[in-house]
Amino acid sequence: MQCHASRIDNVLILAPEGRIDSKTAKEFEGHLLGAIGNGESRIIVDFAKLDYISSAGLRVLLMAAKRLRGGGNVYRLCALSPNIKEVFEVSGFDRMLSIHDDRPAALEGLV
Amino acid sequence: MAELKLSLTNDLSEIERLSEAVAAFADTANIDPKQMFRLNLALEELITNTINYGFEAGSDQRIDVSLTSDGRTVSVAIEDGGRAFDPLLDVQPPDLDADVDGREIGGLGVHFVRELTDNLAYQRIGERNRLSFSLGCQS
Repeated sequence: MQCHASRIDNVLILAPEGRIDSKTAKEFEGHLLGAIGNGESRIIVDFAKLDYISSAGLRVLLMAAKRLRGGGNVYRLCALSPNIKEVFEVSGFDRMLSIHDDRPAALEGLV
Repeated sequence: MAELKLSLTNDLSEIERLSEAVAAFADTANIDPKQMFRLNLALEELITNTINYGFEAGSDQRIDVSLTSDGRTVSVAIEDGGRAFDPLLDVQPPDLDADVDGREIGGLGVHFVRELTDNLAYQRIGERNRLSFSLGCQS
């Protein structure tokens, strides 16, 4: 798992690559919750280069959602592959989180 | 008929090694990419449970995984010599309609396995746990 960070205006974009499984979820947690801990409040997670995610990864995404709830915070996900989309559908995460087709769609209204 | 047998140590880093072995197996066993993803997910969720909750210090800490495909169905068995542990018992189904505030963290792993596989079962055989499930080769 690698996680690339970039910024457009005041939006932080995190792009995990490879696998978020029970072994690598801790590392992803460090990137995502670390950013929130550093005061980032407008975050997009771009899944375009992610091949795989399990419940260990969803756990991290939910923790971030709880911390970014409300206020003027932004927390959006984008570019889920069909396999990853299925994981979101089976868990109900597709209805609970803000999910967009691709990065431009996720950035709409933010920059 | 294709078969894969692997003996894993009690360590989460084995999950990736397993997924690589499953990818190679999928090639020979006529398993399409969608079913391979589901297979890897089910294996990870169950094996992670076993690694996190199943073993007492000093016990035999290997996890034996076997996959058998007849070209239409993959049959999977996961066996270990850890303490008796049935992950299918007493697991509350997650509240899929909860919002972010109400949603509890955790409990999704077994839910995924139930939803994405067939014939999921647990048995205690002598001093060993055995989890089994099956999955179609084609989605």
